Amino acid sequence: MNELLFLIGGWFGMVMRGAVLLQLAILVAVFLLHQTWKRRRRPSLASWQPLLAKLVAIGILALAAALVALPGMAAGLIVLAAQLLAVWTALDALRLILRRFQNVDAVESYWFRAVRPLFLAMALLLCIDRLDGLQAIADVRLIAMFGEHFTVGGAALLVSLPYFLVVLSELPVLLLGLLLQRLMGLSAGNRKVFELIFRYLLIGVGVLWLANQIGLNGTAIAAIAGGLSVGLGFGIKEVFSNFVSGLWLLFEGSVRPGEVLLFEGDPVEVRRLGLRAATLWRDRDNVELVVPNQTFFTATTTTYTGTDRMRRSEVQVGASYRHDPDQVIALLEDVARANPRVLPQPAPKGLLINYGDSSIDYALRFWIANPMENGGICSEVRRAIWHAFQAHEIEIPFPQRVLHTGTDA
Amino acid sequence: MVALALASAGCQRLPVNLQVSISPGAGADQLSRQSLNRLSSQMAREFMQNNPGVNLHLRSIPEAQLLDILSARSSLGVGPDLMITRAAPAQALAQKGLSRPSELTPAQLDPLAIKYLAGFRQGHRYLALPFLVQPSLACYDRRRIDAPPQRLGDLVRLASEGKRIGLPLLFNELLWTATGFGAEDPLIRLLDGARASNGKPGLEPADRKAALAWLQWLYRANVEPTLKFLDNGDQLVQALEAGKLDWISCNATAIRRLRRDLGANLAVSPLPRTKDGEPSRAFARLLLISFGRDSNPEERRVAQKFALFVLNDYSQNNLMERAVGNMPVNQTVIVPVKNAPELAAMEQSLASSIVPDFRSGVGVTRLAQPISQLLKQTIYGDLRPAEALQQIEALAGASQPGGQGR
Repeated sequence: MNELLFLIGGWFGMVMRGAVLLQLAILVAVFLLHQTWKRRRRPSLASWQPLLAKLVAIGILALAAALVALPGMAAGLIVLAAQLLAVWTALDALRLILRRFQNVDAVESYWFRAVRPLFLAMALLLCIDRLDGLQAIADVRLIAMFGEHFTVGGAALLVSLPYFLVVLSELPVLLLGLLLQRLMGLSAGNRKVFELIFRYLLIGVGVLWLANQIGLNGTAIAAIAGGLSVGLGFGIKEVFSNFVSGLWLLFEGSVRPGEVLLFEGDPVEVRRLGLRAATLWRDRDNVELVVPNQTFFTATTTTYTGTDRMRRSEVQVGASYRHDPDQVIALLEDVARANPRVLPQPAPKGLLINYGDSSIDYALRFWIANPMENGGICSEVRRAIWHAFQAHEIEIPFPQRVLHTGTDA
Repeated sequence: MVALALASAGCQRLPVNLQVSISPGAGADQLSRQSLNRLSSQMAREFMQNNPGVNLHLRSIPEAQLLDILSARSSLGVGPDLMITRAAPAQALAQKGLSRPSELTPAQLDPLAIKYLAGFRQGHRYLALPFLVQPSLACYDRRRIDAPPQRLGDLVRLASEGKRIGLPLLFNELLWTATGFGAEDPLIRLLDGARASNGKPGLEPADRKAALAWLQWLYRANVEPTLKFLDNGDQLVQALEAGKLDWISCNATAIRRLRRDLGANLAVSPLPRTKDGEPSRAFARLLLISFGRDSNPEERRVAQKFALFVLNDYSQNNLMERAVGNMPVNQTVIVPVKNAPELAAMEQSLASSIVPDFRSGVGVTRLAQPISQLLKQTIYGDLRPAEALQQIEALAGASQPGGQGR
């Protein structure tokens, strides 16, 4: 740690040189100017105004660099800042363009989770490299571990690499999946399985590489594996169980992303199947449920999308005793057929299910293509039944009870 | 109390942080790099102990990337305060304005009696200061070779008797074999930009004949199955350590490592003489100190102080004693040749060595890599000696101002 502080102390000496201080002052002034503009305008994420502001800032920096270099002073720091800002501006322009053609949430999510942190990390590394050489700081020893020295480079990799592995692997794996889907004619479900497995592989290889880079030798790995075996028995067995369940479910194919399940009485769509848990989306209240993988592994799972994606729906209604059941059933089936979101095959089927206290009870059964749309389609069918009954003067009776008093008797 | 503490803290001067870059040699030359890094760290520790408030930060930079890295850093204003390099990169740094002349006065430098200093003079100042010199020697295993070969012919005879001889395929480290052919000085002059009597870059007919004879000797020497040419000094040292070779030409910095592995079986001697008995003139490595251009006045003052510290009698003597292979440039330091046969061999070798400076010998180091490739092709018969020489002349011409390379 002392070595690291000593090294950073050396940077302080370089930064305190007059030429460097002048450049830093110019950079801070341009930054403050940009922030003031941003606070006043408060531009939205979709606005092109910040892009123009950045271009102006690049222009100011280029001008300042030329002026500073004129008497032969060092201006490389300003040039470097202008170059980094130019790259950042180009990336921002790409984001704005992609927003027009791609899902906005997906673009913004990737931007904030992947592009921005990666750019900042690269910019930081570039600055350190220019200042003192990356190797110099990467080789600084922090602590000794398993006979190997744990260095600053190893610590930086340990902190950043897992994050970037998880986040950055998304896009290339997705593109590869789409390519394979096109080339090999994979189904959407199989494509997602492939994507997840490939991603796990990528992360696995990355973690092994990381272990090698930070100097974990065979002895160290054996020691960690020994610790894990105890840990698996106590603390992290749930994590391990969920991980293995997730892999099993992927191969089995019952809980793949895109599948529709019945979970706690509601239809839900599987959004993601992660290392630990599956993310389910419930339509009725737009919530995402994070359910541990082993739940699906150990309990019965009801799926609407096992062999096909159709769902059979049912609407119940009562009609007065005075109406001919055949006429009512025909009318109900007509109503279902008239709804564009009800599948013509298998054909809708009306059934007389009971002679109730106040009405004859009917059920209208029909099939829909998307199980997640059941609620909306049922509502449409119920409304259409009401209108059809009105048009044909078919009464939906209220509950009735006839009372006979003693005197009448 | 708090105010008092703050006031006293405020009165303390900030430490002076000195950045020192070290580039001892080409990429493959790990021996000299390790040796110099170790020595420099020791010197830095001693200097910091004697100068509280000064922090020395040593950075090792590969010689091949030195100009690019220092150009980039200097453009930011964060270039190093001191640079320790060989002569060719030091000259390139000076030419590109990445270093500035020393501001040390004759009153400060004269008492140190620094050798080779004149070769770095420009006007009243010095573009760089000699720091250490590392001569070339012969290293051999005394279990296999009783007495070292005295002349170049003896070396080939030893090879024909079955002794395993190793020579480097690096031009600057092999050039000593050209001394006896009269080809060494003309080639050095050629690569330093001298022109022939016709005004063009090239050799005079007599010199060309001498150079051809040397190249032909190299080709014939390679026919000897036990005389091997390896790519660099590192490989030769490894082969001697592993017992695969019996005699090699080596830089003095390799002695420490060889001594560790061979112990008392290691013997060193000056390189074989020419057939006429003249000493062969090998290239010695000269390490130089250059001053950075971005230092503020305080950093420059401390950098000069450090330079004087490493050049004084005490430090130069320490450098010589702590790591075998480094010879002092301070002429007031007495080299104990009677007590140490290795130092005696180094002193003897140094007396006839060519020490490159900014006026002579730098071209050999600068063009060593491409010429070494030509030598390799010649030795293995891919290129005829006359063709190789023609290409060496073309390389020399292209590297001069107004040449094709510019």
